[in-house]
Amino acid sequence: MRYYRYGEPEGRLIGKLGNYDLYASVISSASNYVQPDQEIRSRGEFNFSYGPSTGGLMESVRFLISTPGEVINNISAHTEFKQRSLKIIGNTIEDAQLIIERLNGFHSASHAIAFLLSIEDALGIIPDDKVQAKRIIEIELERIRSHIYVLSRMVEPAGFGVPLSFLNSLEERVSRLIGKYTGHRFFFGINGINSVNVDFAGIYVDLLPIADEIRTVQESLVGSAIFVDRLQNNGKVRSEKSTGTVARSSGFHFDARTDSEALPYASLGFMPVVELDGDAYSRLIQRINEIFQSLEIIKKMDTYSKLDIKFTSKDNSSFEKDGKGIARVESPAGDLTYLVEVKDGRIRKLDILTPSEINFPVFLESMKGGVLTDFHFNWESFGIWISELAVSIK
Amino acid sequence: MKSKNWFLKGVNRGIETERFPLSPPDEVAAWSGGIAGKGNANCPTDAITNNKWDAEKCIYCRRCFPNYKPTGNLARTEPKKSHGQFKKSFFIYPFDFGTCGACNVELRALSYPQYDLNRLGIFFTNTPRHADAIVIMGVFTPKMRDAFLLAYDAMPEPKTVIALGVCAITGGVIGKNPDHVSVIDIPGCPPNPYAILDALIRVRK
Repeated sequence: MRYYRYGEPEGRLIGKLGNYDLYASVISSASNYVQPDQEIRSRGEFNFSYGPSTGGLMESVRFLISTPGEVINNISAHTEFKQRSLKIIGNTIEDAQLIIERLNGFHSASHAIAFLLSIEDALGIIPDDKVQAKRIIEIELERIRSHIYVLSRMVEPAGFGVPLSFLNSLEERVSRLIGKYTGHRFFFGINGINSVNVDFAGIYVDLLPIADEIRTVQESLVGSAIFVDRLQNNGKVRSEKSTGTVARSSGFHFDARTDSEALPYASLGFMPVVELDGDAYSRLIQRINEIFQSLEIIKKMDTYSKLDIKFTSKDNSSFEKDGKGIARVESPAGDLTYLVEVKDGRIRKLDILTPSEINFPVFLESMKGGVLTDFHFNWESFGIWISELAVSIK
Repeated sequence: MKSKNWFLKGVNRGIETERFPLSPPDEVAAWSGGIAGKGNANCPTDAITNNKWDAEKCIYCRRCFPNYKPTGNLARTEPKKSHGQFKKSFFIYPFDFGTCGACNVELRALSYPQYDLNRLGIFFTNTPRHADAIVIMGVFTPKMRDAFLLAYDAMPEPKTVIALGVCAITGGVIGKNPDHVSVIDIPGCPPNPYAILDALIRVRK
């Protein structure tokens, strides 16, 4: 395992990965991770059941909200309604990848790349620089679309029709760009072991008009006092057990792009930006800032390909058929880790730690003390996908 | 967009809505429409047998490439029944059985300016009580079955079911499809928004 070693707890605790505690560069069998309490303890309030199927939620999930009418005194959630059981153990790597891509389709590139990096780690394959560069472009494109999507979901409950249409239009344009370059709007079918079958040359120029419009929307959104008022102090949270945008919007510099070596972001001089307040407004600003960072990363990658800088190809003429590997990448939602064991070219064991798993308890905690009308703004600001939570591997 | 007034900003931006179905789709990702070719397909879902492509099973994994290539046409199946009574007003209720999220996003995209389903008299509804059609997505999950039956029972007559995406039609590579009788199957993994709009239009004819 190139990116990780077994050892005593050290550094940032990211979460529970299978039977291990996952730290920034160590996996430890000692269990220091305690799942936060998600139980309802109502004191005379009525329980409002929201979900599992209703128009306001994109995916099936039931929230049980304990409230005297407005204030949310407690909240718990049932994510098991759409629980999927994915048959991956015993599959070939190629067959397993088909399923991994569909674990969370909206962040499919991140899942496929994290999975393939862990496989390459297990088999002793060192990916080519050019392949790694294309993987970075994929994940950053995915991040841009995902952040625009979350922004639009945050604007929607405010009934803010015009900016909602602007953001929806931008998201669709990014989706079409992804479709134009990769042949599929969700990156399905382009990734393989040490390969990405796409030519991204010129994509930055295509993204430029979108960048200009995001800046305009940003200026207008933060200039709307009514909208900003719905977000400030809503879902305020500062937790070391959070990840991704949620963590970075509350002052933590947590980012797999800086503390994981699986993808070569270090060579780009990447440093995460952070916001400090930890409320829904900070998460909105954080996402906008990260969109521009992603554009800068894509610009650098695109420039490299135009200059035809020599990318080194590694000698992978002989590689192992068995092994254990682990890789962590920064998906649009946060730390995404795959721990895989391969035997005779087939998946023998697979553990996945998703950012939605990490951030979901943090969301529930942040909602306590809020009011019902704040719920959607806060929920959407976390960018959680139930498909990443309600899933088991068999 | 220098105005501070949102309404004026919207007007200044102009019309982005496309003329589909009166004009062809502006841009369809290659691997989301029809596929044709011959020879060995190496298909994991048996979507290609005897050189014949079955849209309802295809997950667009591209293992059949280069023997099989995209045609550029929308993937479509024929409605099993016509619902002309919904021609002027068609309310649909999305129902997530067990998706990966991609079908949900593509269905939502119909409300985006490029597609604007409302101009065609099609609307999303937040409750099955106002729905003419329930659009099921994803593979079968036991706990959503009761929710589905409750939602279906709550719908007023006449009502219908639409299956969106390969998971809901055949289960794809993820699992088993929900037990249902749909008026139209919208193939794709996930289906392209144009293909979804096309199917919703055709089911009302």
